[in-house]
This record gives sequence, C-alpha cells and structure tokens, in this order.
Amino acid sequence: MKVIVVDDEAPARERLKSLLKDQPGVEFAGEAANGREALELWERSQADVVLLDIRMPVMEGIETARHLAAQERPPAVIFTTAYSEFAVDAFDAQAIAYLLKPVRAEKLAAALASAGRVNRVQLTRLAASSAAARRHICAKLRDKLHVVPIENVLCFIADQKYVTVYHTDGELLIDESLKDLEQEFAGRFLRVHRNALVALAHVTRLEKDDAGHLHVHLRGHAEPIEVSRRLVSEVRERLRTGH
Amino acid sequence: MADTPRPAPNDFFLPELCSGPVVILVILIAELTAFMLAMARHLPDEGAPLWLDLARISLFLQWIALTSTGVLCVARRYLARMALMQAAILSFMLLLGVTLAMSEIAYQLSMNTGAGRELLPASHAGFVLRNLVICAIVSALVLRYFYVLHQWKSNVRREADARFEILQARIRPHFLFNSMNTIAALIRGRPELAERAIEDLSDLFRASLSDAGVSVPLAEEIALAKQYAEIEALRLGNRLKLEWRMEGVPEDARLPRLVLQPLIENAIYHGIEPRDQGGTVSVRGSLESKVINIEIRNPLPPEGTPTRQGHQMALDNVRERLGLTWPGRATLKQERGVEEFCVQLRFPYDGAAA
Repeated sequence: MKVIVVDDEAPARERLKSLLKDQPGVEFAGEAANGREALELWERSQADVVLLDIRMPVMEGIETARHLAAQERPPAVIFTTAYSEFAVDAFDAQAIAYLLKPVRAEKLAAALASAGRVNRVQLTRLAASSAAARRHICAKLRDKLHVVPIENVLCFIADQKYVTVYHTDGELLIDESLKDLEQEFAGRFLRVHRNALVALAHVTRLEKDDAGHLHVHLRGHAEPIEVSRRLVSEVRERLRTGH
Repeated sequence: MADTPRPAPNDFFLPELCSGPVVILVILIAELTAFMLAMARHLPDEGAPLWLDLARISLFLQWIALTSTGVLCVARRYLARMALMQAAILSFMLLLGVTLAMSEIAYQLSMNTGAGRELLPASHAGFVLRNLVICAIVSALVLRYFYVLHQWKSNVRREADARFEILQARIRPHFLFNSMNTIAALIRGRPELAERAIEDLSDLFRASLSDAGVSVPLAEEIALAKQYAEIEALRLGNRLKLEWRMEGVPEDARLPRLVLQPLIENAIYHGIEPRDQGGTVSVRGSLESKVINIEIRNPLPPEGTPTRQGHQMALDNVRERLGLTWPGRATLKQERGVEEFCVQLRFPYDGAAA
C-alpha cells in the first residue's frame, strides 16, 4: 500500500513518516507541504492512501480532498488534524476517516486497515456537502493533472459536453456544469451569456461591435465574449459596482 | 515600587472617611437630618421662624457629624482588623458616644452662658436621651448604607476578577496539540530540542494558569512571548521570522500578564501560517512621554484565504483586560494596510521603579 503524507509542518511530516516505517505492508511514497503539491505528488506516485492535514497554506485539506475525489481512481483520504473543531465535524464524521495529532501508532494502523473502505461515494459526499467555494480548478490535460488558482481563471465557456476553462497559462476541459460553477463562484464570476462566465477581476472593457452586439474584453484573452441581450443591463450594473 | 495597575482591594465596609467625597456625603446626610428635625419640630403659628431653628439644629448636628467622622476615621484602621459584627457594633457605640459627649457639652455650655437656653427642654436627661435615640436611628441607617455599598462594590470587583481569569485562560487548543505533535516528532531525532520545547510550553502554561490580574514587568512578558515564538518556530521552520526592536522601552514597565504574547500569537496564526513562504512578524516598542507604544506587524494572508476564526476574539480579549486594568488609559488599535496588518498597543508607564 503506497501512502503519501501531506502537512505544512515539517515536524508533523517527520512524525508520520517515522510511524509509517513501523507499519507492515506500507510503502512511504513521498511528502508534500500543501494541497497543490499534494495533487502533483499523488499523480506522480499514484498512492493508494493520502494522509492529509486540514489546515495548510495555498490549498487546504478539504479542498484537496475534493479534487482527489473527482479523479478517476481516487485514493483513500485520511485527514489528520490537531484539534477536531470545525471541518471534520461539519461533515458526516462517520463517512470520513480522520486522525487526531499527535497520531497514535495503533490508530494509524486501524485507519490504514480500513482506508480501502473509505470509498469514492464517501469522498463525493464530502465534496457535495462542502459549502465553501474551491480556490482552485483542477483538471487533467494530456494525462497530466493541472491545478489552476481560481484567481488565474479568465472565463468558463460551455459547449455541448464540456466546459472550457481559459486561464492565464492556457486552457483546460472540465466536466462540470456552468450553473454549478456560477453558484460556487458567485462573487467572482459573472454570467454574460447562456454559455459563458467571465472573471470580474479580468474584465477590461465593454464594447459594441459593428452589428451592435455588446462584448466583454478580458485581460489576457484575445477573443471578446458576447453579452446576451437580456443580460446587458445586469452586466453593466455588476461591472459598474465592481462586484 | 511602581504602582501595580490594580491596587489590592480595601476590604472593610467603612470607606476612607477622611476623604473629600465621603466628608461631603456625611455633611449632606447631617444637613438632611437637621432639615427633617426642624420641619418636624416647627409649629407654624408660634415661636422662632423655621430657618432660625434649622440653623441652630444644623450647627449642632454638623458638629456631631464631623466629630464622629474624625473619630471613625482614626478608629478605622483598628476597626478594620476586627470581625465584621464587632466592628459594626463598636462603630455604632462610638457614634453614640460622640453624640452623648456633644449633647452634654452643648447642654452645659448653654446652661452656663445662657445662650440658646430657650431651645433646650427643661429636662437634662430628656434632652440627652432624645439625641441618643435620633443618633442611633441615623447611625444605623448610615452604617447599613456603607455596608450595602461595600458589598455591591466587592461583587462588581469579584465579577471583574472572574472575567479577567476567564479571559486569560484562553489558550488555542490548536496551538497546544500542534506543539504536542511537534514535541512527539522531535523526541526521537532531536531530543534536546524536544526538551526545550517542553520547558517553553511549561512556562507558557504556568503564565496562563497563574493569578489573574497580577501585573508583570514588561521584560518578563517579552521573554514569554519569545518562548512562545520559539515553539512556533520549531513547527513552522524558516517560514517564521521575528524581528524585535524594543530598545528604549523601559523593561520595568508593568502590564497585565499575557497581553503581548496573544498579539504575537495572533500575528503568526493569521499572518504567517496561511502563507506558503511565511514572513516576518515585527515588534517595535517606544516610550513617548509616559506612554508605552508597541506595534506588532505581520504580512497579510494571501488573497482568497478563508478567514480564520478568532482574530477579533483575541484582540477583544486583550482590549477588555487593558480596559479592566487602566480604564480609558490604554488602547489597542488595529489597522489593515495594503500589505500588512498592524496592531498598536498603548498603555501608561508610571515611571521607573524606585
């Protein structure tokens, strides 16, 4: 069983590593200091189990688990936390494995033994029950997992089947509905068309083309995006007030 | 010695009688009593006008009241050592004694000089006895008033103390368990660091469990905050940098325990921990005409970081304790700049220790 350790504190990782050494049948497959590194590490190592701290900079544990849950073959996730106050309690604690730090060797053994049973359904439930918006968009492109901070996303454009994410360094395809994205990132993105959400922070100007259609121009995105007629007044209002 | 911010409570029901406000209160009580007696005695159709009667009674009563105040003022420190009931009865007796003496002197004076004789009743004993009864009633009321006032004040003080203790005892559970985890990790590989972390942690807990409301020298509070930062540095590694510039701040200045440490803790918790690259917490102190000014700065968490709870709580906690210690004379301001968060603590400095 391949296990990776994710925690922003070096001593905490050291301790888990030394505990894992004593566990039979466990192969330590690497460590990461935050969620973004963890996703990359997981992809490289294809670990079966991720020991995941909840509070970390860059990308915290709950969000990391949501991205992991969305993968084709998600790993089992065991949260580690110093104090069981918020996150874990907020979800259905029965569904989620978690260990309290300092972790006991016996508890770790028990959690690893039952890790296989923390299945995709439970992780999906976690993803669904989390009310907080993600801070990253995560998707595979040419077999590589890409993690894009939400502030780098310029717009979401939907076609028949997928949503294309245009961001500062390229584009990604994700399998989510525009409606859900609009809800999740309501303060940050603005619906300008049936098939388009644009990032308020990246809008440079509104302009009418020769045919009289209003278009939104985005910084770093060559193609202006058409604003549908029935949304024109709302778009103008939101851009004027800035939120 | 520099003043301790919270003087020990004076635990006797009689107030300091030789102080201005109390003397004025006594005069007022005596005057009101005189007015009452004059009104009761006055018959509209005969004798001297009311104001003349009032003047004479006032003179007599103020004489008794001020002498009594003087006597009790002197006797207070002996009374304060007695049991409450004993002290109350003795105070009562003293008041009666003064009244008896004054009545006797007034009677004899009047008889010998002839002044105001028409005001006195024919019976010597009747005069003295009546005065004693009036005195007994008024004294009982006044003593009772002082007692109830004292009870009320000490209740208020007890409540403030309790609140102070609750406020001080708040240690973030996250910090405790993370520290324990760090120590557990260090024990095998670096036992000497683990040892030091346990010592620092012990000092921190000793401070938070110690007597509430006791003031400590600033030097001690700085040392404690530094020990706290040491523990955090073990955990956060090179993500945490601390910059202390406290030259020119008198180290003997006194402040309530655990005022500085929570501010440093806050700066690390909200400013450093959420940052991948960490940052610097800077602490600067200065003395400006009897006011000590300490500024704690930390970088802002990255944009989009979910707000961590408890930020305002910790600041309010410190602010409340400052308010209990130096009502209206200490401030804690917070300011969010473009790149950093700054907390400014100001409290009075009463001068160097003698």
